Order: sequence, then structure tokens, then C-alpha cells
Amino acid sequence: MTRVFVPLLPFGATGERRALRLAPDKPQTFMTEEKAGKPLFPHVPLEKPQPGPLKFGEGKVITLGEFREAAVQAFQTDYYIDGRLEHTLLFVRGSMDQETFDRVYLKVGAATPPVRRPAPSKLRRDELTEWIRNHPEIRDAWVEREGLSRDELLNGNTLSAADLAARNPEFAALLQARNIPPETQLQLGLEVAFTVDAGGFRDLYPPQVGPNGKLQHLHAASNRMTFVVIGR
Amino acid sequence: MVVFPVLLACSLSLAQTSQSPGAKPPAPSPDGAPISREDVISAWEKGLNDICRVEKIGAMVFTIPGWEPMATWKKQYGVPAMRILAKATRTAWFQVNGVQVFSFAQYDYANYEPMLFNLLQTLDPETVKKAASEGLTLGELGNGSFDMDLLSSLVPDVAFGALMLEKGGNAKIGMQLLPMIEYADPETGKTVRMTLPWAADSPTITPPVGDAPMFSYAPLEPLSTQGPLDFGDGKVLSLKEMVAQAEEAFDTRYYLDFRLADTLVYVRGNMDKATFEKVYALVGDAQPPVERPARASLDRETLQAWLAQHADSLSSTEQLHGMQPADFVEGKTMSAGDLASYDPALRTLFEQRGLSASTQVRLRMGVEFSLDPGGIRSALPPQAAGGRGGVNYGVSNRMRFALIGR
Repeated sequence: MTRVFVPLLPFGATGERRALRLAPDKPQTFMTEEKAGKPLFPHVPLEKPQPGPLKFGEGKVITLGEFREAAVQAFQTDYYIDGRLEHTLLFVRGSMDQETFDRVYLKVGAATPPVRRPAPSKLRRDELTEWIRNHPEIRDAWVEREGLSRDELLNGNTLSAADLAARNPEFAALLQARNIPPETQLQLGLEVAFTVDAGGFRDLYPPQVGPNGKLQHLHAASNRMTFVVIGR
Repeated sequence: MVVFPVLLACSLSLAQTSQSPGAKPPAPSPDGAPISREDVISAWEKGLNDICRVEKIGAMVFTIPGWEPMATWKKQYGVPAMRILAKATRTAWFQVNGVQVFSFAQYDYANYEPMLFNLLQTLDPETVKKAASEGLTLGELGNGSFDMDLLSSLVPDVAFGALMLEKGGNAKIGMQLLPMIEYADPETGKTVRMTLPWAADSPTITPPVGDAPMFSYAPLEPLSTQGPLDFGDGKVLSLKEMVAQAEEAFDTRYYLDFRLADTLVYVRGNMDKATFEKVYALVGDAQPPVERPARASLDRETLQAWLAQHADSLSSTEQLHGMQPADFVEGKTMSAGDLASYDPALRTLFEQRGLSASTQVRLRMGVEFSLDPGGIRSALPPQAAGGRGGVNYGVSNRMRFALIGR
């Protein structure tokens, strides 16, 4: 599915670039039929844990501080803990020996190292546009609207919000709803959206209980996920 | 009207705490409410601005542990001042291209017990006697060479550290026996150790002593960084605000663990990118989750052997309610009822602890040091009282430290 992508040229008090979609997604609450599926990956066995005197039983949620304290008692060894991480919640299950605990604690008891974050690899927008141009099966999937041609989008034409609004009442309504001033300069473009749909829906939040103590709301979300490739 | 109550509950074993860095809870005000973040920020901003001015520090990044009794010294001391400041605030001190850095990570608690005992062993019997009777000044005791590591491990907060920097040589040090008992808890069967309330020298307020610095000035690393990250003349930010400012200055993104993001840091001066990254590696990290090395500790038998020779010089039979120091040093066992016959006030104490008259108790002995630069310091920020005036809470500057052994 391809959609119109309309990045706006700098406008407003902050001068920040903003993007506006002319063909919004189908609503997230759109439910699809849940179908019997088959697993995508074959089973790959996990490492077997080394049992030991530190026992957590069948599984429970405890704080990092409690996790450390259990190890101090089990191994009669003192461990450092940073007080700011002490209330982090962990699910723990099974048993482990001291060597295993030492390695596990190094992973779950540490903070994210305070180092430079590597620059994420970026997709250039002109690369994406070129790719769309060369793939007609994607490019032509976008149905041209009245007043807006595919070529204009691929060429990245610029025009004012007033001009775009004049071409199609649908665009005018959208621009008005977003309070975009008529003199704002817009640059047209195309993005590629992927959807992954396992069908059905899932609960987003725990059930909400009303003041009377009875269950009142369940908040569900569609299992249709959308991922958008825009480029920078 | 300003009211000035004095809290006499002094810290007997402050430096022995096993509290983890960064874990210091906000100090509660006397009515139980936690001290506000604004109180913490304003106390540190003023306190560290003053310290930087006195010490001529151009750049500093300091991880703030919570509300702290703050004070400043008048003269420049350099390295000794930074070492005391770090110990008093339970932070580790580093210098990065002249930036003074104090971080939670890599701090470890020193145990003052073995260090105080080493000092004890160097003293001749006459000196021990004098310390136990009329007291000595630190200057007299250490002959100007009092161990810096020991002194800094005895400093509970910045205000006390400031006193020790300026008046340490005149601070009074005293000693006395610390009579204790050991018994098996009636409910759990675990061995419990309890100090008997026979201390002759409870915390009290004495007049402030005059200036007598113990340490001479030792210069800090000169500042050798200049860069686009400019924190100005000193302010308190959250760690996430500090990182955001660095990201903007260097056009670079940095990782920050969200659980540390609200940590308060005092920042001052400017620095280049390489310096900031070294500083951030220290203050932006948490204490590494590794096994804690066993701390040096004082062996109880070693202490008892010393006491066998010196206990008589340290106590009087009045303090021990007619009992002999040897009874404690040798670890005599008797019933709680028999012990209470020496001091009837103990009956109430034993009843509260669930000890019957027949419970067997073992007599034990430790040594208690007191360190006193005189006067009081504020223990909490001033509390407003109905918008009019306020209440200041002071604590005696007489600190007590127990040598018990393990």
C-alpha cells in the first residue's frame, strides 16, 4: 500500500518540519478475522540452567533489591546495588548457582552505559522516491486523487496550503482541521506503509474497574500493525 | 520568632552504614514529611557555589545524594577539601582535565573501625588515660599527622567536614569503655548484642573551638578544557537536563538509563566533548552490580587483647556500677537478673527487650571514641511555622564512634 506523503516546509513559531498524511490509515480499531495460523519459526532449544541454592520457585515478580537480598542470603556474599535501580521489577523463576547469579546480576543489575549513542542508519528520502519510481507495482497502487497527480508527488513539488486546498475539498478539510495557515508551503512526497496483521485484537490496558468495584471497560487494539518508511 | 530545638540523637555508627550509593532517602522533616526537591536544590546550589568560589574551581559536576547539612570553609585547601567533601557526601572523587567530578558509581564505604584501632595501638598508656579522662585535641593526638583517610571516614556530612577542615586541630577527642551484653533472643534464638546505657559522655553541646587547620593546601589539577558545553556559574540540573544540554552543544546523542534520569547534579563551568564524555561515564553510570569486596574489619579478639591491657585506664568503677572492667573483657556470663542488681534501671530495659531475669547474658566490651569540634550544626532545612519565622533543627557536633569488632 502506498500513500501520499506531504512533508510540510518550515512553518509556525518553531519552524519545525512536520509531516501530514493525506490518506490516513484505516482506524486502529478495525478488526480483522482471527485465523488459525502456523508458527513461523521451528523450535530451537534454550540453554539448560544450572540449578543452585538460590531458589525462586515457580515464578514471581520481585524488585532488583529483593533479588540481590535473596542472593546475599543464599550465597552469604555481599553485592553492590545502586539505590536508584533498587525498585526495578523483575520476574524470576527457578534456581541458580552463584556463578550463574553473578552473570545474571551483571546483566539485570546494571544501568545503560552512559556512552555516545551511535547514529542510526538512515534511509535517504530521495533514495526511497527513486525506489518507488522504479517499482510500478507499488507506485501505481496509490490511486490518484482529484487535483493531485502521482508525478507531482514523485517529483516532490511544492505549493501553498491554499493552492492544495483549492484543488480538492477533502484536502481543504484536512488542512483546516490541522490549523495549517493558507500561506504555508508544502512539499509533496510518497511514503511506503507496511501492514502486518495477525488478525483479531489484543488488550492494551488492564481491565478498568469502576467506582463500584465492578469491571467496566476493556481496552482492545487491532492486531493490524502499520510500519511506515519515510526516509529523511 | 525563631525556635532552635536541638536533636541530641547523635550517630553512633554512622560510617558503618551499608547503605548503597544513591539510595539515601530524602531526610524527613521532624513532622515526617520528606524534604522538598526545591530545598535540596537550593541548599546544594548555594553550598557548592560557595565551595567553588573558595577553592577557585572553574568546572565541577557533582552527583547530589539528597539534603545535606551544608557549610563552607573560608580558606583554600584544594585536595584535602575535595577528599573530605567526597567522603561526607558518599561520592567518589575524580579530576578530569581539571573538572572536579563527584559520582555515586565507584564509591565504597570505608570501615573506620580498623583505622581507629590502628590509631589506638600507637597511643601510650598515659595518652589513653588522658583521652579517657579530660580528652585530647586531634592536634595533640596526631601531632599534625592525623591520617586523612581516617578523618574523612569519620565525617558524616559537609557541614561537619567544613568544621574539621578549619578547626580539626582543636577538635576534642575522647575515649571511654563501651559496656555491652550478648544474649540469645528469646523468640528467634539469634545472638543479639546490646550496649548498656552506661556511657558517661552522652552527646552534649560544648562551646565551638577556634580555628586550627590540620591540612595544608594541595593544589587541584588545573582546568585544561574549554568547549561549547557551558553550564555557567553553577546550577543544579537533573541528569537528563544535563545530557540534553550536552546533546545540543555537541550535536550528539547519548544513552541515559531512564531510572537515573532524575538524579540531581550540580554543574559548573564549560568543557569540550572529550572531557564531557569522560565526566559522563562517571556521573551517568550506576554502581556496577558486582560482588562487594569484604571490608577490612576489626577482629574482636584483637580488640579484647588490647582492652585486657588498657581497660582500667579507660573506665571507672562508677561508670560500671561497681563491676570490674575485667568482667567485661573476659566475657563473664551471668543472669539478666544478677546484672540488673548492679543497676536497677536495667530491669526496665530488659523487660522491654523480652528478657526474663533468668536469661543468661554474656558481658562484652568495646571502646567508644567521641570527636567534638564544639557547637551545633543544622540537621534539616529551616521549617516554616505558619508563614511566620521558622524552626531550625540543630544537632550537637559531638560525634561518637564505636569500636566493637566482629
